Amino acid sequence: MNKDKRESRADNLIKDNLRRAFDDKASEELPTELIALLAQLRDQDDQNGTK
Amino acid sequence: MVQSDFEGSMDPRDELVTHMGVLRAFALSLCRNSATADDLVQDTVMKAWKSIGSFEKGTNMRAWLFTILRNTYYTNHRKTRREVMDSDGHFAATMSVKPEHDGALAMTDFLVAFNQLPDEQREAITLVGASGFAYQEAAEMCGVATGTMKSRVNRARQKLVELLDLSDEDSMELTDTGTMAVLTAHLPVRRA
Repeated sequence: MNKDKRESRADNLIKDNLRRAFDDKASEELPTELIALLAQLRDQDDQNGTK
Repeated sequence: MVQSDFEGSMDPRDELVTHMGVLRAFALSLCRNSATADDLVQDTVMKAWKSIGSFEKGTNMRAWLFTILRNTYYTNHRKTRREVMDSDGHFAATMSVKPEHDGALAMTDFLVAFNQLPDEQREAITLVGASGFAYQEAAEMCGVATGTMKSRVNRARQKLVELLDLSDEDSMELTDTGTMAVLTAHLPVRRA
């Protein structure tokens, strides 16, 4: 395997794993604390009449 | 990064919620600790919500949120520099990825290597390689020149190649340690 092909394959392996790790975390359910915070901020805006 | 018309016409607060998943993934790539990452996301959300009026509709909200998050991270990081963030390698354990036993690079091995990169390199390769930002966008978010961002991504890639031993043809078919143990269990033991 020549050097260019080796480098290209290494790059692809790294990109695949990087994206898989990122996408997997990004698709997790949001923690309840974060959902509660978003709801609280939304409620505050509603009470203050903020749009 | 292309911004859709749909996102451009949304209430920014509604749009903000749609970026929570990627924001958590970016936070974890910086913090390497799930609890710290979730705290960082909460701080970021509160700051973003407070200054939502300054967000320009139709511009890139993801970049805006990532910038707030990284600024918050580095501010906090300077305060707690002496803390050990991941002394026991907890980051790898918090990533709920499923290693594939198909001869591809094992995720656990990858994450251990990824964790060893310096902050600026982890950030650079995550922004460009995983989050889909162009070099120029990532550079603007980090307040550096585009050339500097390219250099950081390249150094991160080179370091990962080195740590994962991907420069050698024979080591390109990596698998995780557990699978290797099974695969090599039947090999004859050489005795002295």
